[in-house]
Amino acid sequence: MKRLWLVSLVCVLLTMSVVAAPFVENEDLTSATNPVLGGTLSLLLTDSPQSFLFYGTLDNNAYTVIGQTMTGLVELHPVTNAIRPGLAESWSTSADGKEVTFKLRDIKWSDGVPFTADDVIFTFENFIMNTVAKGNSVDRFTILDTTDGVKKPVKWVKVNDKTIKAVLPSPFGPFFMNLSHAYIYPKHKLESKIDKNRQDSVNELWLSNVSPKDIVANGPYRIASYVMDQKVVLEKNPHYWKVDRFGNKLPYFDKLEYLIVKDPEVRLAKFIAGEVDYLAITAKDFPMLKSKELAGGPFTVFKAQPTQPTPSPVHIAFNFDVTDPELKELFRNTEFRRAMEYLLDRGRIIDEVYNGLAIPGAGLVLPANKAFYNAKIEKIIRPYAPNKAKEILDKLGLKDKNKDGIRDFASGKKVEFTLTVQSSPQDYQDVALIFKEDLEKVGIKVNLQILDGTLVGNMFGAGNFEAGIRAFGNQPDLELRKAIWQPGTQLYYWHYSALDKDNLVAITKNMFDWEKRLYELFDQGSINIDPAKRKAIYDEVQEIYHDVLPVIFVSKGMNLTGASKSLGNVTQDKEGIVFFSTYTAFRKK
Amino acid sequence: MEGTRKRVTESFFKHKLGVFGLVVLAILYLIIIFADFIAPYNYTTTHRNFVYAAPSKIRFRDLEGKWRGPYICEMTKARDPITYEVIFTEDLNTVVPVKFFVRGEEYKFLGIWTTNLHLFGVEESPDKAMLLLFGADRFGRDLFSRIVVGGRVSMTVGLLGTFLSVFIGAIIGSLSGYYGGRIDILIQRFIELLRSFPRIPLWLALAVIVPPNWPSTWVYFGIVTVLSLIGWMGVARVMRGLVLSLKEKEFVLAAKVMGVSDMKIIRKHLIPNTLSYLIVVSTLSIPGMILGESSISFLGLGIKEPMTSWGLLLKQAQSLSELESHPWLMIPGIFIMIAVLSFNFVGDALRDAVDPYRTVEKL
Amino acid sequence: MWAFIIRRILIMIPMMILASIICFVIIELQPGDFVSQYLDNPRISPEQIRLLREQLALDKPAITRYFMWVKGIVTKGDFGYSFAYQRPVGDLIWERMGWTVIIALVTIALQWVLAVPMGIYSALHPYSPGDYVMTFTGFLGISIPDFFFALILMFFMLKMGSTSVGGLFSTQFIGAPWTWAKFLDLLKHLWMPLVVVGVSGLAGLMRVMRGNMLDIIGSPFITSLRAYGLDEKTVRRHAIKNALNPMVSIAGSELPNVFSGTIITAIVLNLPTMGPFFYNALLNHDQYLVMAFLMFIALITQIGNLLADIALALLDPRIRMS
Repeated sequence: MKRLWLVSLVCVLLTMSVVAAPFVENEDLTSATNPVLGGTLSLLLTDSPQSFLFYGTLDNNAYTVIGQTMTGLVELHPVTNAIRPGLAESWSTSADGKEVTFKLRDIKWSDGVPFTADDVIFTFENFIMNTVAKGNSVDRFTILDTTDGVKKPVKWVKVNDKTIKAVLPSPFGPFFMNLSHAYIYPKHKLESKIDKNRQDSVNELWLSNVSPKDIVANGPYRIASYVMDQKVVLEKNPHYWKVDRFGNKLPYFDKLEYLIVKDPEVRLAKFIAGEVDYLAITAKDFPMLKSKELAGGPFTVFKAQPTQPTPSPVHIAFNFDVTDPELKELFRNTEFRRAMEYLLDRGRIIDEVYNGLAIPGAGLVLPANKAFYNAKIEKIIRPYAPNKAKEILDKLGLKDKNKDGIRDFASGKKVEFTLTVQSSPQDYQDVALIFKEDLEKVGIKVNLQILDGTLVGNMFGAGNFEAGIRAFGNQPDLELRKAIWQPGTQLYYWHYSALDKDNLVAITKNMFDWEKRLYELFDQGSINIDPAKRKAIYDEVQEIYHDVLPVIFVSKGMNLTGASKSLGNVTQDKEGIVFFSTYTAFRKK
Repeated sequence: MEGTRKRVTESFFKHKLGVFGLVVLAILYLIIIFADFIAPYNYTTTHRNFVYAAPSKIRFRDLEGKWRGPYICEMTKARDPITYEVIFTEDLNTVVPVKFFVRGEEYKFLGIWTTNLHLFGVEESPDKAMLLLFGADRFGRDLFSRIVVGGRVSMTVGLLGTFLSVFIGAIIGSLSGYYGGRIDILIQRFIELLRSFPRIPLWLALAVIVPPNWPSTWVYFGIVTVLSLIGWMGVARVMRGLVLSLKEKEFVLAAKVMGVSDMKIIRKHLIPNTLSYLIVVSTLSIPGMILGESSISFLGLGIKEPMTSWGLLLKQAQSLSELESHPWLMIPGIFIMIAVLSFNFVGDALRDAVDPYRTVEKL
Repeated sequence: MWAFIIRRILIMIPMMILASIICFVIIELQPGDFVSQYLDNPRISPEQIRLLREQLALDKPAITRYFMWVKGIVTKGDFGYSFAYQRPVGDLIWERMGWTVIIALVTIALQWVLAVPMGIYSALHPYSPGDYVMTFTGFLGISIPDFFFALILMFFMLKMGSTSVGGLFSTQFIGAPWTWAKFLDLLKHLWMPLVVVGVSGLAGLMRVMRGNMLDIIGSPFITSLRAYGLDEKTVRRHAIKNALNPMVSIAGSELPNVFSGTIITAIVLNLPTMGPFFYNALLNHDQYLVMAFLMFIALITQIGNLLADIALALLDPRIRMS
């Protein structure tokens, strides 16, 4: 009897320890066998964070800082973007795909209060689904119910303190991807501060003047102090639930300091001076830094395959709704756009504008994104071939009748248009210049219009342009970029006649056949959950984009980073991908 | 009056620095008038094979020591596989002579005649060899050509803007100081009001009012005129101070008693006495305009491609990596400094020459 | 005298009102508003943009918004909220006031302390080697664009291995309590902005002082003083006093200049002052923040001019009489 009791006790203890088992971080991030604990990691911010509440702001610097302190039910691997457990240690999906039950991790907030399903429900109700919260994600969790065609929100049901169920109107492929951005906030700290009568009072929580002691975290670090406009200091979260494969609690560093530096040259100077440990580098600065490294500098410069959204890949767009009727007919002609691609000298652009540190195309899906990349597009992308372009232009009837060096329409008007581009970053202008030169060599006149970024943004947003150069970052799942690449959306800016701006509904009858197909495909990609099926859908999207060219993707800059030699666990695998994270790096002795 | 002019000119030429400045300015202005002719290349043409090329080494003796006259060598461009830096290798066996009156890239002389005659250059195609006195920029464009053409904008804008602002400022300031009373107060308040506004937001706002489809030069002159309209206020304020002190002087009171009209007093007695100050102010303003233009280009609000100016050229050197790898891109800055210094020397000398009370003695 | 001062202060009120209108107009003339920067972001639906506009009252016409703002000031002393930081603009500006004022005052003080003696020396020993050296350095100082100068200084400092680059403190001293070490660190960082900002102003001031001195020295006024038999030292004193006259007017405009004219340098050298903060607010169309800053500068200008006028009257008795 006693033995049975002992055995069951051991069993219970074992199950308890299994249940409360921390998350063991992958070896790819923790390759070093002798990590050193302690010390401070120094990084950079481009400006002061505007808030410490993820849902109260749209500021990128705020996201950077908050991203170190908060996390969601699921997480993305910081480098490969693979989905893995976060605050939820496991989950199971029902057979019809409409219910997902999450088993929450048995952990505490940084102030020792236990984390429960109440926090999840609180966050969704007051922040994520709150339409007047600045950084809300209502769209991402409002899903189309395929049975009645109505969009409905995801419902969250508490099963018990450690279990919560999500009920979806229909199965939704990108659900987990969206969850990775849904950081969970502590109910016990914030609920009392919300004014129930004013839903937008949530935007006033945890602003930049809040005392750091009031901020509670569930990520690797928590906010320790903030010196306005100069630095934000984070410290190790004592209740963080990740360990390395040797049993050490993560993060290795005691402190993480973000220096606030507005000017890019000063950021570079601070990195070279050793005040900053890790920095994203532009193609322009790469040769100088690499030379310094080879001459014995205290840092390593990495050149890696692009895996991140930025630098945003540049594309060229021709406005299908341009006012001039002859240009309108021309721009809508797919053969014309193909001729334009033959005139795009990507090799020269990569060489001269990006110092050779970029890859061609890659505007939709990055080649390193194995889950979705369609290698077939490499055969579809057209090379630089001015003669082929000339053939096409001749066939379109655009000949230089009056021998002034510029082709003319049938009406006798010159083939000429304005190319609008923003003045900064510099590479957009440079791409425009090279493209313009090549077009003028075959007789098409281009007027370069370089203007302030906001002005250009407004012009594009109003459809007030002829041809333009713009860039949008890549995301690991095309669903997250649906609002750009799906025809009839707010950022499909070269064909606004396919969008009813007042009701924000797509006008399919104004779309071309291939646009209708794209429209369908994107909707299908949303509602399918089978990864193989989704890949097939987005494969076709990529093929259409590169064949019919709604826009012409130019190139994508490589991931260039610099890291101090004294940082441990910064490695590069044989495919060129750099592995680094703020909570697995350490200071070598 | 005859005597004054003679005295002033004599006095000016005694001032060595002033003469030096004048000569430098004359050269600069000559260069920019004949810019297209003096520049060996067109300032917008890109040359793929000479991206970021360093200034050409001009040699005189070949490998065997034989005298060949001035020549350069052919260059090949490559990219270092590790640092991605652009590397050039000279083929020392080639001899590309530098000649005068060479046929090169086409341009329109004074905007009228199309020709391709350049003062100097090489006859070789720019694919193999380029005469780059100051090196090339990110697109292989000859920096010397760009500086010479860009000088047109930088040098003329300074003159126009300053003249306008000093003219307006002097008149309004002296009116304000001389008449005093309500006119003074009104003008003063008005000036204060306008001067309260920092230039940068005014610039941003104005950069936008100007229609984006204006040709670049119009845009620029439009903005410069506005800047000068802001600049007159500083001059006015100080003029007022000077006139306030001057108007109580005996010779002014005497003129009043004699019945000389106010305008005549201002014109003939007050303003000439402040002339030296106005000159100092002018010479200090022209450089300010030139520098102002570079600040504006730095903010991305001024001249934009394909036009160019010294300020815009400097913007492209504005980074630690450029200073380290391609330092020749800073040369436009030297031109700015030379122009500014010359204007200052000339102004100084003029001031010394004009002041009738100038007896240079040690106190 | 007092009547004069009070009258001037009273006039400031309508001036500030006019200033506020002009500020508002300038900002309205810019295309786009605070919400425009989010147009590019696919994370934000058009619905959210519309809501945001409403929340910030940006959908109302300009005149309505202006009066809403004025009402806020008059009834609650509320100068508006920053759209980006969602805190009162007064707080945000006050937080950055400290360093801005310190750097501004130190710069001005340094400029004057150096420029006036240099100008006097130059005028008293014209064409001497000392004069040439000072003139030349002065000229050099004003011919170089300040942001470029800052970049070159940074470049050379890095080449020499220095780590005190950019900002006011090294990382370990930011936010730390004041110690002698921290003060030294501050000096190590502060010299660069002082040099960059001060050098250009210094040369200008020196030249003007020199010019004024030369004017006075050559004037019959001085000759007559000598004829009276006054010793050189007294004569010199009179000369300097008169030469300082126009400088006083310049001093009045120094203060707002140092606040706003050094924005670019502060951005390039990463100083935690109001300048870069304001520039960002401008680019972001953070309207009330920009308005508050502009009004602040307008106020400082008025006060500066008043002080200059008072000083002018004190220095020059002839003006007092008129």
